[in-house]
Order: sequence, then structure tokens, then C-alpha cells
Amino acid sequence: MVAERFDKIWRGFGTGLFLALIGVVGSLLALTLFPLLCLVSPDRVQRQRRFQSVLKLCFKLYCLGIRLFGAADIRLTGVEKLNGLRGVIVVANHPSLLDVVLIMSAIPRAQCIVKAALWRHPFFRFTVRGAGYIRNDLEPEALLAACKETLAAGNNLIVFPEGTRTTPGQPLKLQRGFANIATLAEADIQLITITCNPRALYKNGAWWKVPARRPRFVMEVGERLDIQHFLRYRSRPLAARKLVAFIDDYFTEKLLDDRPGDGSETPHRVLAEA
Amino acid sequence: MTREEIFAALSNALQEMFEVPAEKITEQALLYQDLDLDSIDAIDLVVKLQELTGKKIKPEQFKSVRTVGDVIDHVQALLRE
Repeated sequence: MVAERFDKIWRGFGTGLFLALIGVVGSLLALTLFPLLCLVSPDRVQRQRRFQSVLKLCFKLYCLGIRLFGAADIRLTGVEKLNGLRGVIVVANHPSLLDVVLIMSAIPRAQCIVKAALWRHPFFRFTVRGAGYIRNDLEPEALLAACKETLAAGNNLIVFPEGTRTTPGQPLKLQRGFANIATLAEADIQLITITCNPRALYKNGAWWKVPARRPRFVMEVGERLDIQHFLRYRSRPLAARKLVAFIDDYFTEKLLDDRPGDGSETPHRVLAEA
Repeated sequence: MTREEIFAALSNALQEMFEVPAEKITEQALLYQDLDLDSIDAIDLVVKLQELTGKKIKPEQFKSVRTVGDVIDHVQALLRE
């Protein structure tokens, strides 16, 4: 009992610590290493590559830290499929705050569409500029053009079609933007499924209310979809709709048995309820 | 082309390109809300209308379009030019 209690407090402390680290270490890097990287790499493409490598390493270390600290378990499967990945749209479900960290720690040449407010952030603006991320406040056509360009350059674009984290207990609701990008840029799709059990860092949940058991994040690298298969439909808008429907089904099936609770349920109680 | 003919052609295009159910297509139907089109779909629709009318359409002019009826007004104005 005492050990469990201590473990919970420890994880609560760890969660706060690692959330704070994003801000603190992120800001420090933005003021030291990243301006330096900009300075030594005047070429835009080279600069972007270096930022991508450094950020990937940072997120890898961050995941390692979380695991060693014992704040959460992290398991990645099928990551070998990501070697040499180029010009693909990485489509994932979005149960938690950690999702983007997990993905960025595993995929090469990551590119994202980021909140425009970060371009005005005193520190993070150096990061988002240097990394060449795409602003989310661009006009639809300009946003598409930027995505097309980055995919053609071999970068992998991370998109959460839900647009925001999943509301626990509700079915996924996918938006069509990613499918418009995919069909117009003719880019393949790499599917990724993320689960977190018991749930942690989810939408509308307070981060300090840690679950009774240590949460386990699992990121499964799944199928890669050939966009040409969808482009056979008689119009581009129709292809985009079929793609959304396909991915909706895919995630629904993948998450069929995934009903994370708060970790307090024991086998005994589950039996009693049944 | 009469208004009815334009409506028929447009309705056809909406069903073919976007799989919009025929019964949803009325002059009052809102393209984005009722028929579930998005701003990128609108570009595809403009291209299709150009094919149908043989006239050049500026995307900026199309920005004010909200309903199916608006599209028909637009096409009629184009054909009169």
C-alpha cells in the first residue's frame, strides 16, 4: 500500500518534471544550440536537416528519461519500417500529449504543421523557424502548397487528422485536410496507432491526476498506404473522402479493444462488475 | 442555358465528384455546411465549372459563393458575358 502510494506521488512528480523540461530545456536549446545551428548552416535545406536530427535525438532522450524515471512505460513496435522513410504523410490517432514526442523520436526527417502563436514565442520561434515548420494560419491553398513542397523535398509530414486530442470515450472524428494534402501531393500514408493505458495526459484531464497504475504508451507503426490506389476514383475530392473513410475504419478496428480506464480497476472488480 | 439546365448540370457534378446525395441538393443548400464541401473541394468545383461553361473563373470571385443558388447565379453571369 505504502509502496503504491509512493509510486503514485513519484509519477506525479515525474510528470510535472517532464512537462516542465519541455519548457525549460526547450527554451535553453532555442537560445543556445539552435541559433548556433542557424549560424553554421546558412543553407536552408541543410539547416532543416540538422534541426531534424537534433530534435529527433532530443525527443529520443526525453522518452528514455521518462522510462528511466519510471513516470511511464513506452513501447514502440514496427519502428524498423520507418528507416529511410521519405516524402510520406504520417497519420496517427491522438490520445495524449506525448504522441508527437513519440512520433518525432522515431521518424526521420519529421515535418509538422505548428500553431502560428509559436512564431511569436520569445524562445520557441527560433526552433520553429530553424526547423522550417509550417504555420497553421496559412490560407488553405498556401498551406497545401507548403505541404506539397516539403513532401517533394523528402520530408515526412506528421498529421493528426482529429485536429486535437481524442475526447476519451468518444469515437474518433477525422477531418479531411490530410486527405486533401495526400491526394493533391500524391503522397503515400504511413499509419501509426497510439494507445495509452491507463489513460494519461488525455484531453480535458489534469496532468497531476496520475492514474493508479503506471501508464503504458504503445506506438505501433502500421501499414503504409499507396495513394495511387485511392487516386483511381473518378475525382480527387472523392478519393479524399474514400481515404478518410478508410482510415476511420482502420483506427476504429485498431482501437476496438482499447478502453483505457484510470488504472484503479483490478481483475477482481472487473469480474464483480461483469 | 436556362437556370434549370444549369441546376441539373451542377447537381450532376456534385453527385459525381463529391458523392453528395441528390435529395440534399437544393438552391438553398449551403456548400460547406449542408453538402460537406471544403475550401479545396471548391477549387475542384471551379475547375469543373470551367469545363462545363468553357469560361475562365477567377477563384477570388468564387470566394463569396455560399449556396448552390449562388453558384448558379455565378454561372449565369459568366455565360452572359
